[in-house]
Amino acid sequence: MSFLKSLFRTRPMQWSPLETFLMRLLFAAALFFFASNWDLQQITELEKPNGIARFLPLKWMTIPGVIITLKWLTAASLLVYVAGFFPALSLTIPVLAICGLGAVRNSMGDITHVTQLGAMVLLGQWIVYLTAAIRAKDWKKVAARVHSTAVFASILVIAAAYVASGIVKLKESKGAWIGRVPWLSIHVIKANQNEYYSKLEHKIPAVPDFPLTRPVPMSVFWSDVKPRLGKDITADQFKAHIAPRMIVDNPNLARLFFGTGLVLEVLGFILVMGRRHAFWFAAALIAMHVGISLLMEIEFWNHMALLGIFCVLPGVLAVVGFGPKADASHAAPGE
Amino acid sequence: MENSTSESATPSPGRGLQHPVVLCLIVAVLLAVVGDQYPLSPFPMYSNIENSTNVLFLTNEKDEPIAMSPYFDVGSAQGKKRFEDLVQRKSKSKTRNHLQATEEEVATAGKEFLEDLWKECMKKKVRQEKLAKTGAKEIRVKMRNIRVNDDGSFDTENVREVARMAVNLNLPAEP
Repeated sequence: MSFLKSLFRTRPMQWSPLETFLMRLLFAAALFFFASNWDLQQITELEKPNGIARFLPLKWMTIPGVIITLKWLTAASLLVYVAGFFPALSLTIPVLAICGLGAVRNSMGDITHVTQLGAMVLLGQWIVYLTAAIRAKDWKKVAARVHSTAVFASILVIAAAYVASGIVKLKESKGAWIGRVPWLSIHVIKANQNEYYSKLEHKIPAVPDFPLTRPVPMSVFWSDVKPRLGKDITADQFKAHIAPRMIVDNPNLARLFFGTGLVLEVLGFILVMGRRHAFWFAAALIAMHVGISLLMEIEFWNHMALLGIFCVLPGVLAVVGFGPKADASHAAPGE
Repeated sequence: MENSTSESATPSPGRGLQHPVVLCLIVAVLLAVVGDQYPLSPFPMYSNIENSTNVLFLTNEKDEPIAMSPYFDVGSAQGKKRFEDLVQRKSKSKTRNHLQATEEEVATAGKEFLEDLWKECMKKKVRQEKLAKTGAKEIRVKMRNIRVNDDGSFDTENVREVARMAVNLNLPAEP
């Protein structure tokens, strides 16, 4: 009982100045290179205004001269933020540019989910720094604990996003999500076809003796598929032509695999329970994303990068002796 | 490196509404309620799995596939979302599924979708040149329905043409 209590006890989270510096550095790089829409084309009309584009006039941001100016102003501002100087101000331009361009991108008639997590974390950090600056009436100096609070806010946002995703799955499917997992098989087929029709590259040849009509229970997988994997059946062929069949023919195994992902999402709040919890739980979420990308060609690089920066990196730093000095009992594994 | 005024303090987990887990759950519920409103999102991908889905693709007049990204700056999955959005806007029943909309509604959405693709292609000469090299005289928009039946069998060959447009890309020869 005491073990369970200790397992679920929420512990204070703190990060050393070196850790928060490295996190700002990597987060700034992730934002600039992966969570932005600098290649947006100039648009004349927002097809379906989304998010802040519903309230703010944002079309002007896609004018080529403006977008390049915003890009380099954001880069300069992020450098100041990385150095730790007046982040309440230095994050203002990145917030406007990244959230503004993201909203424009998602107002073009289709919604993508590539950049939102980075934008939400950015917004969360900005609110923390802004609140601290207003309270302290000091826009220049930042206490180390404010940087720690900004990191905590980042993890809170990431955790909440996973929980929200789990809630939506349960709500939209009226609780039947895990029961419907075998239907994901057609989405595996779809994902592979989408990939092909987008560029017409890498057409994956069928496996002659494994048409989509041939059932593949686990016994057939062990005897006829696994020995040939990497030989006359490539990983791509397995994903495109055999995995969908296996999902349908082994429904409970599929429910276990994908259902674990749903459970991880719903339990996302574990990320805010302590550094050690955050490290191991983030590692599990990254493993889930890797598994999904291997099977369905759906890659969440931003999610994995943010989990790595804010949850896994501190664990690694603690192992090599760069974790916070105080309160070592709450540090990540190895410390 | 740091412009700090004090060493890191160890914030204690709050109680009640300030408890980290409670805070996290409140933010999560807010995200789920607000929905996809950039920059906020509850990441609803694959939230409602159904036993039928569609793939959008393009072909030429001989029904040979044409790549989407190099000429129209949109992939198959994104293109499908945009087409479905147009179907929803043209449809009286507000359905996104072309199989549930009327022929007329699908035709109007398909025509507008092709016009948007064409505008995108015309924005850059390099795209026009690449498309001209394929020799396509017509662009057709097709939707493939993929379904898993109750007995576990798949239907993957149900293809419907939703729009077509004649194209003329006789670009002047380079001097």
